[in-house]
Amino acid sequence: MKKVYVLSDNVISPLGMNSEENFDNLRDGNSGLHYLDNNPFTTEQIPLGSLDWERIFNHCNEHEIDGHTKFDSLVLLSLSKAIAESNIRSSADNVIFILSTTKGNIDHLGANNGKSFLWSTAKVIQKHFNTAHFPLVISNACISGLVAINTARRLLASGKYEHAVVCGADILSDFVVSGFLSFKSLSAEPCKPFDAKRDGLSLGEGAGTIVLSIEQPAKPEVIEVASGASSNDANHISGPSRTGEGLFLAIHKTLASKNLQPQYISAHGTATPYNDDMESRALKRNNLENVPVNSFKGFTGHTLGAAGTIETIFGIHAMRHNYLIRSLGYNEFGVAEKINIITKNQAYKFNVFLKVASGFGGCNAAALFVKHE
Amino acid sequence: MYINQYVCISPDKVTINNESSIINEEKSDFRVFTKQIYRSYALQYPKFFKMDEHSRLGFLAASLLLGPEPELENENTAMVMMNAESTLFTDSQYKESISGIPSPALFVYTLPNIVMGEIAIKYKFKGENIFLVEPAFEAQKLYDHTSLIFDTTPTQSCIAGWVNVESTKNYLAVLYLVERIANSQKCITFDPTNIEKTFQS
Repeated sequence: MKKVYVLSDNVISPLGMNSEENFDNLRDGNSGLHYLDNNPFTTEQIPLGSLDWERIFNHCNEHEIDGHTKFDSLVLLSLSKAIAESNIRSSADNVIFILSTTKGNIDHLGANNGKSFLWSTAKVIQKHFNTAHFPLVISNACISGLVAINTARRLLASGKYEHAVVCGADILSDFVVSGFLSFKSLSAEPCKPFDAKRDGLSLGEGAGTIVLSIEQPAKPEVIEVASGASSNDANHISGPSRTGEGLFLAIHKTLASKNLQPQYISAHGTATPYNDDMESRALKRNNLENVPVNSFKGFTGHTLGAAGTIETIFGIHAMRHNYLIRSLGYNEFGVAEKINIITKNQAYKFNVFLKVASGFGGCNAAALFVKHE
Repeated sequence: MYINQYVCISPDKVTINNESSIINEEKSDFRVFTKQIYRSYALQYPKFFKMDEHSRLGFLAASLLLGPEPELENENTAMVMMNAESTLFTDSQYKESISGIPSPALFVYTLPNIVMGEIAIKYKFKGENIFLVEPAFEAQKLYDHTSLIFDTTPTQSCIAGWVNVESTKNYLAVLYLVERIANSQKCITFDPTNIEKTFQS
């Protein structure tokens, strides 16, 4: 099996238009969650991590991305920015594109323009970048982004392709906002992952693109995508396993295959009472209770199919900077098992980072990243 | 690798290993026909009736494929599924509910991977799950992604195939059990040509 490395990345989120701008805002403790004036999605008073679409379309103009839907524009822009920072040729035969999303152009449902098919975005990507292969579309609820990264790593490691461009994206819509409201899973305040007073999640939108390759970048420091796994709870479709069974197994398989211990964990941390309890149990069962852990959901909200890629990129940048970002929204300990939640930003030298995610359908995933100097 | 068993459910009939098992002679609609299949196989799983069409179809195909107690390793049984529609049929129903009282019972089914969750719950499968959305059925892609799971993970068996609901008149499930070892006399080699054959059964 070949080794797989990170070539470049991009995040478009409520915190900015590229990974660096996002990381600066994470470091400064700026949350992207706001109460919108004239909220187009709901009359309920809930904060949302919404994108600055005017700015996005301005950037699209600069990148000659024109005449597309909101979702497709976001995807093309994030892909364009990440590809520009890598040295790959997007039309080459050895490149595979992977899109992870839960709902794609869901705002076009019923419009009879074919856009609501998730694969319609793959067609747009293929045409825009003249890709040699039809892009894969992966839709595994909130673990979609990590499943996409794990799939990309496997495709490259087994020699099927040499480069993979993985984009996770989802946008806010009345469909998704009303759905989470109907589940009573949204907090009236910015979400508080792992906090004693957490009472639900906050929704966000965005895109995260990561370019992977079997070619080791010619840089003093490189990030390897070392391992990863997914596992089903086999317990409930809309709630996590109480014991954290599936996440425990996903983490266990991810670590066992490499015999490495993470020095930092980016949790799923949605701030629902059940999820965060479950995660604390899964971490404890893997003897990871002392490893520093945070959730980025207090900064961007839950970006669904984009969360896996966006938060992986945040974690990689934290590792490059040797810097831990505090878990925004956390004040008072309140989960089932004692875990080491990051309460203040700090310099911290580390080389092994674990990303985890869980989602509807009882699915769980993990991926491990290693920095080589 | 081998396809040890395969099941196909279409609006016309149910076939198991390319042999017809139930014919939809009265051209019953989706709800009636799937209930008929459920009863014919004496399935006892009340939650079946709460599922949306996409999960019902995939769950039913998996239940016929595997029987009540398959001898599979729970932790090493994966699922690789594909379709074209994602859950658009259910999405439209949920969307209609938004103007009144949005239905959480419908909303939870607006993700294509939920069907794998339902099958996992029934059989306690805890392996890898991946759901791919493609414009049309492609045997080669299903073969590639199922093989990739076998080649790069400890997976011993995999429930793989196509579960697609366009409408209550137009739907198709083709699921097969892929294993590293041949364990039935009716097994066929797992390759794109045979996957294509199962799709036309």
